[in-house]
Amino acid sequence: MPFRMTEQELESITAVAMTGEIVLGEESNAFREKIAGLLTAGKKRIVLNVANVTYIDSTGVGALVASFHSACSHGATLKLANLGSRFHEILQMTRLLTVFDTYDSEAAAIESFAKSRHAQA
Amino acid sequence: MLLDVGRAISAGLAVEDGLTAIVGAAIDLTRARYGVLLLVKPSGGLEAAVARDAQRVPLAFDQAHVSSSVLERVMCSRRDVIVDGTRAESSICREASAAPPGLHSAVAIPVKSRARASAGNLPLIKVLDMTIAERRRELLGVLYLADGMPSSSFLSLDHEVLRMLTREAALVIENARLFTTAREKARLDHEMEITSQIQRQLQPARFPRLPELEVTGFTVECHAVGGDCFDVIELSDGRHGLFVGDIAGKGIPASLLATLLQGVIGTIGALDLPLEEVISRVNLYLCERSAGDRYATLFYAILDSTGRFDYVNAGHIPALIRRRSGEVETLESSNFPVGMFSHAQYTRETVEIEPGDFLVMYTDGISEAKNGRGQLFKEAGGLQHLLQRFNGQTVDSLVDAIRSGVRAFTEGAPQSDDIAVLAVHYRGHAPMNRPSETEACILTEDRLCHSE
Repeated sequence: MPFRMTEQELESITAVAMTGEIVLGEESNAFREKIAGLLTAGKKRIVLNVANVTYIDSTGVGALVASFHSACSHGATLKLANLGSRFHEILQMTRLLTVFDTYDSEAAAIESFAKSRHAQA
Repeated sequence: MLLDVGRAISAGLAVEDGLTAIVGAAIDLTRARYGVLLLVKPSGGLEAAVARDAQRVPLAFDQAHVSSSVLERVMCSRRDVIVDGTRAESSICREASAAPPGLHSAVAIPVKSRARASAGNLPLIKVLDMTIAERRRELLGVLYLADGMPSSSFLSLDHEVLRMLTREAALVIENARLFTTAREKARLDHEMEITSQIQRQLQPARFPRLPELEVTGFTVECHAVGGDCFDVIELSDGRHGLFVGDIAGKGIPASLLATLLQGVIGTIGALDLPLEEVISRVNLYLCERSAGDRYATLFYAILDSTGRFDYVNAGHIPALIRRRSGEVETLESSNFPVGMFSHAQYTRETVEIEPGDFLVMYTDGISEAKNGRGQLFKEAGGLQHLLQRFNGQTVDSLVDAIRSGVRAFTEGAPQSDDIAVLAVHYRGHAPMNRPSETEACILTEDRLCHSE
């Protein structure tokens, strides 16, 4: 399945739905470029919906961490939604579950951004 | 004439000889005062490769005047341009024009590749200017003949012979390119083979074979070089440092970091610091020297002769203990990989190994080996299942079982990731029977089997 990303803007929260495999090569490069583009465009709240990510390899995890570092340096926050078992397993093994905010659904991730905004207000 | 050119080319002469024969034949045909063959540079411009006068004597390039406006027209149109100094326009030529001031007559014919190429790297304006058929042929150069016969006496047969000569020039140029590419590939293959040999030589040439423990291991790279590594570090008081690492990614980039990781662990591990301190230092070292997306998972452990097994699992797949009873335990990760976060803290775990137990540290090339149906080895029970069923008594038989088990599962499907396995058979504390160095069994290198 070719790797695809579609984004949706919801009240200053960018939800990116990802489909396919995030692996070494074009896929992980495309992912990094996508996040870099969003950060350059000034997006500060990004939800990655990985429900349809069928596989992520070590390079894909590297791209995820690089994007996390990049988001931090831009003052932005990345959240993950709908982790499948493979995604969850690799994040648990690498202890990255303690780094990323993860949610059971895209709606819950978006809601958490809204809550933090209300808390700030 | 064409026969001479054909002979020159088929004699396997140097590119310049072949092109010189073509320019000479073209001069003879058109009775030109001089002829120049210009080749397209990688940067896109043209440069003279061969210049000869009417007697076929080499001509200095600065003496062989070539009209830049004529060349520009050939480059843009990719068609023949014939400039007639005696007439305003020629009806013979597809592209003919009056001679610019100072130029009497000239024939310029594009040398185009035989294979149809993509127009992807051409400027858009040039692509739009060409017909579809034309744009698919790469421009290799231009054959330029100055002050030859007037176009009125330039027969269509001569024109066709000239075109044939440019096709011969294209053949010579493309063959030279193929030869250069093949030679470059051979050089890269040779360097890759040397790199692969160096990486193999960095792996342990021998493993501990002591009364209390036996160790063995192997790697199988997915490509010529791999991103997996392992090593055994001999420490004081009969203790051994054991590690398996897996660099994110594959191929040459991963192999460079694997070599670095092995060196760093070998150096820092030999300092005999607390285990978590070793990994913290390795982590810092890698964080300072690699980008954030280049990291490694690793399992590093110290086994002493009493069976105490201290380990740090840094984001690596769990190592396995196969107890004498047949029960299999997993040593899970509770740490970040190394090279990912410079501030990461590492924690050490301890487990007791009993006489008769086996330990297996490995990489995900084993657990994620795929069969032809796309199923992963771990989904079919993986190494845990294999260890539960294992009833051998030696570490060598265990490693053989792992090899054959994975091979039987994959049924010949291509290997998708590097593999490393380091296995230990702990036989129990025997302080009074430590052998001398010469009694240790030395494995020959072919026992390490680097490729299937």
